[in-house]
Amino acid sequence: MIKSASQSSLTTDIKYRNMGAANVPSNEYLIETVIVSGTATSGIAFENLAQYAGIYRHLKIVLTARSGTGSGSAADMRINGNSGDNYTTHFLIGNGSSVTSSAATTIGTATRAIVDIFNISPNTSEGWHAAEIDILDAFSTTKNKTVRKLGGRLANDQGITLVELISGCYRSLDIVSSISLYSRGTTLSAGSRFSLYGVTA
Amino acid sequence: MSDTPMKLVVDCATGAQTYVPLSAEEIAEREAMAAQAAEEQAAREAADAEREALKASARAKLVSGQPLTEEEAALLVL
Repeated sequence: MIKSASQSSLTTDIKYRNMGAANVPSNEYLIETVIVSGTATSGIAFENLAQYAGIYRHLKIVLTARSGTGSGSAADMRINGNSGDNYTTHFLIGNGSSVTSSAATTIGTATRAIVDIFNISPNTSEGWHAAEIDILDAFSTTKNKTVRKLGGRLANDQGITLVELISGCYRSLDIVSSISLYSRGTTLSAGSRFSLYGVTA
Repeated sequence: MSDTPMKLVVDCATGAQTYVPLSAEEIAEREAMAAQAAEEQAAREAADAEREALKASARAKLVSGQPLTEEEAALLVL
């Protein structure tokens, strides 16, 4: 016999894209995902991003990547195809027993890309590099663009695991219309994945 | 089969994904950067190896009670 019943206090139906911290609805929305199929791919480019100005505030790239060969290399990022002296990059890298910090003053095309934004470690089972790259205020016309990357990888050819926090700056007030990520040496393994998300405020 | 490096271009307006061969300029830049990256990698590995050797020496001296050099002492974080 039912003696009492109480109405549920749940009055709203909220869809959660994922179970974010504090059970807050996610503000990250998938735009595109690319998965390398095995062609000698040395880079990825997301184009026609200007359409998202006014919709998203930031952009995020989530990636897992590995070399298609036994050699590894670093990869750089350019925004809007710009190869001028408009970039700055800083690194904080830890290997479990020591931490180093540095700025990209001599690495690659040091001021002409966000350099070493991710690494393509050798083609081993441990070689997958995992990272999130944030491009902050991507569609602002009053701010330079800040890039932030947190990731972990196998040090190229060394068998040492590294964790990296990278900060970068693209000094331009132009909105981000394209992002290119390109290897400085080896090509990407099949299965390497790059997902672009738009992030609302 | 062509060995020309490719880039995977995603048009976010249509979702189309296209493999595009790198241009001659892009390939030349990539090769120059690869050579430079190899030199820098070697320099970083040498610096890392030197630092690890100093740490090992400092550790051994601490255990045996021997005095550390200035370089070895600078590696210790207190």
